[in-house]
This record gives sequence, structure tokens and C-alpha cells, in this order.
Amino acid sequence: MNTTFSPQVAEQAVHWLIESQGDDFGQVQQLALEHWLQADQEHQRAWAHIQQVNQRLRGVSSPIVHATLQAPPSPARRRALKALLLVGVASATGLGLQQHSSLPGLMADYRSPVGQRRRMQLDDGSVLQLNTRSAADVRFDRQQRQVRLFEGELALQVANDSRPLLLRTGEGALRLDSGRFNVRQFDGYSLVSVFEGVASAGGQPLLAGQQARFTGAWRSVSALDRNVAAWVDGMLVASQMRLADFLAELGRYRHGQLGCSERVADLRISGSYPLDDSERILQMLEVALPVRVRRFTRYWVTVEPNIS
Amino acid sequence: MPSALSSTVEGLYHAHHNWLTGWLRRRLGCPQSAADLAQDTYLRLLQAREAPQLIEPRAFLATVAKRVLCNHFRRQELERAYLQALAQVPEEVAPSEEQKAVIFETLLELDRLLDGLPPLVKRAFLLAQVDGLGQGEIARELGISLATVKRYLSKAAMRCYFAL
Repeated sequence: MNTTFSPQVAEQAVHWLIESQGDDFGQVQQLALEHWLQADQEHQRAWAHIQQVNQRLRGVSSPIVHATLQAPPSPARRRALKALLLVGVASATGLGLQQHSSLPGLMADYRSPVGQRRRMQLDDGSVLQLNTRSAADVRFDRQQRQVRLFEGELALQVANDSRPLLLRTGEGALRLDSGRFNVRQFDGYSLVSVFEGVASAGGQPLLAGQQARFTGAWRSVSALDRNVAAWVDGMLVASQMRLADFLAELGRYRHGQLGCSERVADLRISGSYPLDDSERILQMLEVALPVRVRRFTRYWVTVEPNIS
Repeated sequence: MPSALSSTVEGLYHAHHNWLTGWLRRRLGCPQSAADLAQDTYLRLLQAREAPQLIEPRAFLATVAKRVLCNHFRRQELERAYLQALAQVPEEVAPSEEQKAVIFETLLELDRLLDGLPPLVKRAFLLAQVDGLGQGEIARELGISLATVKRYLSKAAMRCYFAL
């Protein structure tokens, strides 16, 4: 992808990035951002470029980034730099500007950061909710309504309308009738749960009370697990869940790493836990199970057997 | 690649290669790295947009080589910090060897892009784009106003996304 932009466009794109990540970014600003994107192809390219770089940044474990990039310069380097500066500084402009390597295009309009949920009322009266670390696009026109899930999880209350609603995941498109759905993007497939209405893939329906993996077609259709959408109410509900799986779920709502040692991975846990206070959930674990929560840094937590 | 550029670099290479390697060796104390960095210096010249006007070829070469040398030292330092950070990672969640290399490349690039920004500006940017913290949270974490957070984030973003 071409990643050269005029300074003006770069400045505008950065302005929109910072605004869109602001705590008071509402629907009016969202519309203004969409106008800006629609106004020029270069705007769209610049926006996609930022999303691509961010995608890469998010892929790196944050404790490692902080520890590596914020290490103080060593005395040896300081000496070396000082010695170099004595040689004098001439300009050598135009040298060594590398290009970013590109990742597959990403251009998300709506994004919810780690640990937060967002609720948006769409133009047709549908309600879109994004779970933690999720990104989605919404494109409505005269012929159709399109929602695209880039990453994470969404809940969609689809309003009745003459236009079909197409939901795109990483694997392809689904058609949703009016109803209530939960869709989560995993690596290589998405999990679609139908609470009300019908979801169709290639003409094959998935009915209310069912859930299935979507890989372009339905796979492993099963009875609906209502707990999948507990996040909408800010809860994580477990019933005889493996501790390792429970922590993996909880880890979606926190920054940094959360894991456990193999010796406690198969312990079982049940209950409803409020997602807004994951620290408290970790404290409760120590009471409910024979485990100890060990913190390496604020962003690095592992659960181990409590040997005492 | 413009042919004027490659012939200029070729000329520099033939006339000053030994001198440059010696210049680097004196600063590194290691013949092997000096040869590598001399190569890097010519590679960097070949990436230029146009042929340089050469009045003082050796002063020019030294200027470019200095940058290469700075990067080399910085890379070593980051590598050390990176390995130290990795050593603290519990084994079960440690990245594979291949992932380690990919992560390190990303870190190097990020470091290069954010180089020269004040520490707080860098930190604000990392908290926002790597950790996904909200701007209010960053303001609290760093003890600065929301307006300052936005200013810092914009400044770092211009660098990181657009090298401006």
C-alpha cells in the first residue's frame, strides 16, 4: 500500500484518531469523521494506515514494550553518543526513511478499548453494542445495511427494515433478520448466537435458540448458551468453567497478560462476576480456589497453586 | 533507483571503503561489526532519493556512518533491555523464538519512530496505542491535564504514523 501522505492529510487523520479515542466521542463526531473519510480517498488511505500500525502495536505485549522502550540509556551508550557528537553534525536529508510493512486493510469506524463496552443506536433504530477490544464498521445506504466486525465481539438488536442487514465477519457475510444476535470473532471462525430471529449463511438458516461456528458455512450447530451475552449486562458468567478458560475470558477485559500455571488450569469455577472490577474477581479467586495470584508487574499476572 | 545515485555510491565505495571500515573499527573495537556497519552505511546511501553533492566525500560518509553507528548502539541497548524483560516472563506465556524476533523488529521500529520525543510524550503514546488506555486514564496515570494528553498523543502520532 502507498503510505505517503500530504502533511495536511496526516495532520487531519491524527486529529481524528485522537478525537475518536477521546472519552466524549459521540455520534455527531462519528458522523463528522465519516464525512471526512468519504470526502477523499487519501483520507481513507491515511486512516487505514493508522489502523494497520495500531493493529501491529496491539499485537505486542505491553509489559515488554514498556520495559524495553523505557529502559534508561546505559552509560556506555551515553559515552558513545557524546563521542560521536564531537565529530560534528552535518545534514544528510532524505536518507533512511523506511516504509512501514503493511497488514491487511483495517478501517474501523467504531472501536471499544480494552475493558470497555460501547452502545450505539444506528440510523434504522437497530442497537449495536461492542464488547471489550472490538472494532466494527457500519455502512447503511438505500439498498442495504452493512455491519462489519473486524475484531472482538458485538451484540446486535436488529430493527425491522425493508433493507436486508448483512453482517461481515472475517469469514464472510451473514444475513440477519430482525432479532437479537451475538457474534464473536475468533481466529479463523466466528461464533454466532441467535437469541431472537434468524441468521442465514448461504441460504442456510440458524434459528433462535441456536448457536454455531461460522466459517463461511455453519459448523457445530448447538443449543444457545445464554451466558455468551452476559457481557452486555457487564457480567462474566461461568458454569463449571476450567480456570484456564475463565482467565482467558477475563483477560480480554484487562491490559497485559493474565494466565495460570498448568497445575491449576483444570480447577473448575462457577458464578457470576462483574466485569468492571477484574481486580476484585482475582481477589475472589483466592478465596474460592486453592490458588494464589502472583503479580510480576501491574500488567503481568499469573495464578498459581497456593502452597502454604 | 536513479543511476546517478548508484554510480556515486559505487565511486564512494571504491575510493573510501577501507578508510570507512577503519573509521568504524576505531569506534567499535570490533573488525567484524565494522565491516557489517560499513555495508549498512552504503545500503543507507543507496536508499537516498537523489545523488548527494559531494564536496567533502569523507565528511559526508562519516555523517551517514555516524547515524548507522548510533542505530547500532541503540539496537544493542534495546536488545539488552528486551532480553531482560523476556527473562521475567513466565515460561508458560513466553513467546516462541520466531515471535520474539518479530516483536523485536516492531520494537526497534517503534523506538526509531518515537526517538527524540520527551519521555512523557512517549509514555502517553504507548499507554494509548499499545495498552489501549483511555485518555482520562492516561491523564490520571501521568498526572497531567486531558488537553496535554491530547497534545502529546498528537505529537507522537504524527511521528509514529507519518514520520512527520
